[in-house]
Amino acid sequence: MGKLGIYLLANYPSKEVFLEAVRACQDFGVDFLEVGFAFSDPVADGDLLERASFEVLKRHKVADFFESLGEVRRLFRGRIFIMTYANLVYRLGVADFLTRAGRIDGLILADLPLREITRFEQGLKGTGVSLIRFLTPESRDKDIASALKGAGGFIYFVSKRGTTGGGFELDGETKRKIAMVRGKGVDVYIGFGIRDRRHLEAVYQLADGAIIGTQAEAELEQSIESFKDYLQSLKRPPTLTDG
Amino acid sequence: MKRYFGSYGGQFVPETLIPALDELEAAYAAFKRDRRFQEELAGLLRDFAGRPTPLYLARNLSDQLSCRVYLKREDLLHTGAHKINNTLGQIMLARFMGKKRIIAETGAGQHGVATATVCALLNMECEVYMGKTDVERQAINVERMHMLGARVVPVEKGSGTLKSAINEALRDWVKNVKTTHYLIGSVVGPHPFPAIVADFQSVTGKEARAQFLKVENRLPDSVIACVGGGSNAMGIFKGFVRDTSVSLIGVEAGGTSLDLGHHSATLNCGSPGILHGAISYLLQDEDGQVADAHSIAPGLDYPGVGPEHSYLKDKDRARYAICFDEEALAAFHLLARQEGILPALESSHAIGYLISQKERFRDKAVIINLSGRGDKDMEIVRSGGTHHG
Ligand SMILES: Cc1ncc(COP(=O)(O)O)c(C=O)c1O
Repeated sequence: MGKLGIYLLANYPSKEVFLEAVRACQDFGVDFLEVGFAFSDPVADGDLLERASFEVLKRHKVADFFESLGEVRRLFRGRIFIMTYANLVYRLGVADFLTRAGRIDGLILADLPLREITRFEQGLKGTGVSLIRFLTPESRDKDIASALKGAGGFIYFVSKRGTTGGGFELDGETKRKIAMVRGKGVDVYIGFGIRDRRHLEAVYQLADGAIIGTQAEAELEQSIESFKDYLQSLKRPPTLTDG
Repeated sequence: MKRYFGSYGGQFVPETLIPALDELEAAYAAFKRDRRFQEELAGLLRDFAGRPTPLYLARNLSDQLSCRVYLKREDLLHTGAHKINNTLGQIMLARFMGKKRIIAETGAGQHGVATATVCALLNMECEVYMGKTDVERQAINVERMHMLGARVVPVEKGSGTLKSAINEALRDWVKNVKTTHYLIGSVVGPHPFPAIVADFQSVTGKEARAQFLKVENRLPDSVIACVGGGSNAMGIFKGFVRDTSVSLIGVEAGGTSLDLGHHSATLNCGSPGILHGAISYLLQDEDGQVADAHSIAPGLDYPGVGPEHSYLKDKDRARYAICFDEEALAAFHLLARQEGILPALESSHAIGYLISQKERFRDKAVIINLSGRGDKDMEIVRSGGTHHG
């Protein structure tokens, strides 16, 4: 089985429910968490995560996210990544941001492409924190080579052209690109649009892990019970009625 | 082309867009060398858009202010604003690249109209993202876009102004990057957009410089333009940036006050940050969350600014001043009565600044970029500025 990562937007739908979801991820054996820090202009996100971000920002400042992150660390023993947008890190400065974050395994910045990584990475030297590299269906051979150079943590392979959420589909060309990155000394995880057990199976044929975000939040919006049931459904082998 | 202007600019977009930005940059270099396309573009700028535009000595205003005020009449261009310089350039570029579908964002609706116009001309599919607040306060421009065959997509999310429209256009582009050209409307966004748009707008500055030399046999003391994203200002600055004796003044919207959320004076009140693909001055809170902007002029209502302006500011090559809503409204009325010209509320900011600083400009000769005409703003002006969300 491949690894499973869950994206949870910090303090959504409330701080309490968010932390309960973190606990559920620990109980379920989720391999890593992406803790989202809401940003005012989340251009890589689809409708659900954008709306969720706006709601969180009505009630919370970044200081609240850092505080929750401390509690996440107490509740969850797997790897923890912060996922947000470049300006929140740029504004504080990489060093300050990391000091306030405390121990994390990596930073995922949705609007930081490979060629802009250098200025951010300088601030990460010697911290053990990885700046996660993205590859996409649009990536060229030279992008793949550049992503592999100095990659740590994992390579985030975006499944499709588009924003978070929506449908899941991998075309043949993209599968070929994923195969090129695989087995090069760093894990390859696929994300964007993954919703159910069937998608996971498809992903695990190709990559080392999968990241689920929008669907997990959609379940959590229903209730913490839905969220827990949902996690269980990811484990259960597919039955005929799942289609 | 360089990706940065000093420490400003760059390409802070999802990785998916990087190959498209590279393709755009390479295509633009080839496009500039293509004689046939360049001649066709020059022909369209002349015969379709109405270039060159006059440089008009506004005598009554000049008498009143005791200086010589020249207006660069971009308001006389087809569709009523400078935006057509850029949309004609980019639509030819899109055709050169073989793109079939065009998306754009618009605030005042002027860029949307200019985009819909060139799409009609070249028979391209056109979708324009526009914040909900702007759809309401610039209703006539929405009608114009419809009549020109464009689809207008109202953006309900976020601030409902230009910033939300750009977010939505970027999302569309990530999805449809293979078929679609994003025809961005100002000198903003990821590299190479700021450089390309500045290039297409630089025709204003080149013309104005030659025209001014011809009538005055010298260079102007100052060149003044309003700054939203900064395209009309960059266009006219480009003509004079090497003439160090000419002071370049960009005028930002002071809105109702300089409290965060009440204005759009990004270069005056902001700090460097990352929005819409570039590092530039930005109106933001201490966390780095982007603030809402405000201006009576929908085209200035934006919390960011083009990265090259940030560069010119830090290098002290350009100065950025402020004009408040009320001053812009007063300037609108003054130009109407004194000169028989109804300016766009955006352009009224440049005039309002000059009026407020008339002592400083006594006996000087200045050029103001009159970036657009005011027809679109009738509702806002008629309601004394209350009809703007
Ligand atoms: C007439 C006019 N002037 C100025 C602007 C502001 O844009 P920029 O700063 O890019 O020139 C707009 C934008 O819509 C406009 O319509």
